[in-house]
Amino acid sequence: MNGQEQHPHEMAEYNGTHRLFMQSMLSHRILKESQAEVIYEKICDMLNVEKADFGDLVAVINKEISDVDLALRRTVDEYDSSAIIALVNTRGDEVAQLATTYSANEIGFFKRVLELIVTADDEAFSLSSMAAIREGPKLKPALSQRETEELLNKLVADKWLMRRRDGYYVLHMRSIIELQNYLKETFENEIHECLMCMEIVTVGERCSQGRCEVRLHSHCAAGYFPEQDNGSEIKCPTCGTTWARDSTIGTIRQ
Amino acid sequence: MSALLLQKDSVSIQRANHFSLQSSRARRQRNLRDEDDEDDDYTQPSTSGTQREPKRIRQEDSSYNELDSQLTAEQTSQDLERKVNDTVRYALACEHRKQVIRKDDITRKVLTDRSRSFPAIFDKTQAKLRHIFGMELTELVTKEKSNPAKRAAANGKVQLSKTYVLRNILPEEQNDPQIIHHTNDEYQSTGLLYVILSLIFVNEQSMNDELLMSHLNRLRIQEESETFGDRARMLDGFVKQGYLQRQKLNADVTQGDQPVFQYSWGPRAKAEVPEQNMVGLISSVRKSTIVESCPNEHIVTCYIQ
Repeated sequence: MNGQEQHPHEMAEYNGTHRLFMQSMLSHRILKESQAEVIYEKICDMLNVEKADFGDLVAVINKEISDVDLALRRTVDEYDSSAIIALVNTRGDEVAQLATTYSANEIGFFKRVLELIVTADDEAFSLSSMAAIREGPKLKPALSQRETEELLNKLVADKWLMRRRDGYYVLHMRSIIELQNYLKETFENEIHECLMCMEIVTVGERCSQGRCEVRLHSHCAAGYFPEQDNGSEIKCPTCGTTWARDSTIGTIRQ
Repeated sequence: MSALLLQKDSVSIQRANHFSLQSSRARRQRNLRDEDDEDDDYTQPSTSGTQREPKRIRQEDSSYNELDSQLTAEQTSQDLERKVNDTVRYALACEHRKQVIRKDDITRKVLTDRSRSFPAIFDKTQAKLRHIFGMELTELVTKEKSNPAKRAAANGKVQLSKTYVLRNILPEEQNDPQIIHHTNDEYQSTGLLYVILSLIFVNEQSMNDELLMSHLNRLRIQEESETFGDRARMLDGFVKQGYLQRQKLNADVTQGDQPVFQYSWGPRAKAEVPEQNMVGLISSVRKSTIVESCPNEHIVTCYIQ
């Protein structure tokens, strides 16, 4: 382990609390960190084990599961800036392939929806329900409108897609985390990484200079730019163009 | 999901192979480095687990011949270790789809050229599943022979089937809805499944389809219901997952042209649902108590009496 300076104490043994937390993460796949901590507390109470630091819990588990190409990844939700934790596959292979409960045709539909979301005009990163439903009947074999709606509901329930309150479909954080390699490779021109945290950004702010590729998550931008009350101008960290905080991507357009 | 997405179009397949070729070299380098790749966000697909790749690796590795001769023993154990990890992943993936895990599939799809090491790999896989996930592979009991002569030949011995399910071995009280998430659909279908299993259980472990359907009709679970959809499809699902077993009865019991089927507990139900739970469930409905002194194998008859 590196970073021993920060963690001078010995790493805890993998025990029953880790095992049960793993089962919990297998069933949830992705959680708000606040929820995950409540679950962890509940587990510790139940097993009568003293609660460890949440970061240590994650570190102990990751050390154990990296062999089987799984990892708990902590990141920030693009949509509400909350801390989240996800159980992710760190390998794409034909064994992992089986983990999906979707047919090839359904995967085809999902890929098409991903494409339409990612390539939406003006970096909207969203797709209207109407447009999504229209894609089903275009498949071969075609899905009926009802089947398409059911499939969309399943994709939402399984946390691959999210239905925004305006009825538009957007990528669920699970897709952004688990499918990041696919997204980056397939949509090289459309998918940007946040200049601050280097994670994919589909909701956030962009440089007003059309050719500049700088994108920032809202929470990353908030940390980077000083408070605006002093009236000083803020500039793009790369090209120096005046940064307009209201030049956004992936947000609801009026 | 990501793998399937990657492999769906040919461009991505080429990319995937490209990564594979690189990654054995990358792994060597990584071994030299400290273990500081922990916070790597981008993990390339590893070379293990696919059937085509080992050949490519060997070709590429030929330039390392002098190193390889020293590393053979170490590589063999690394290779076994990787197969163990692949088997763990395979078991998790199958269980995710509620698909029965076959020994044949493990050797053919996962172990490939290492299939002769199955026993050793299997033991290590079990140890890992228990340690990390609190789960284990449980071998299913084979279908009882419908033919009385064959059944007699088996002499009441439990036949193992070389098929497995991944069973949760953590104490039942830890399966708490505040910790383990189940969808509404899962709760609904599990509820119905338990009702069907208990009906079969109190009917001396088997029930013909006509009787089962009339019970279900009475529960308002008709051929098409709002909650459960197509009833036949749902029952097929339970059979496929191994919760129910459906056998065609001999020709002399057929009614008219319709063959009569008989339902009994499937091997997965036998592995996952303790009979005591079932008795508890039924008696909680009937508000009667279980006869404590009743020997386990006669529990059904005791209960009915």
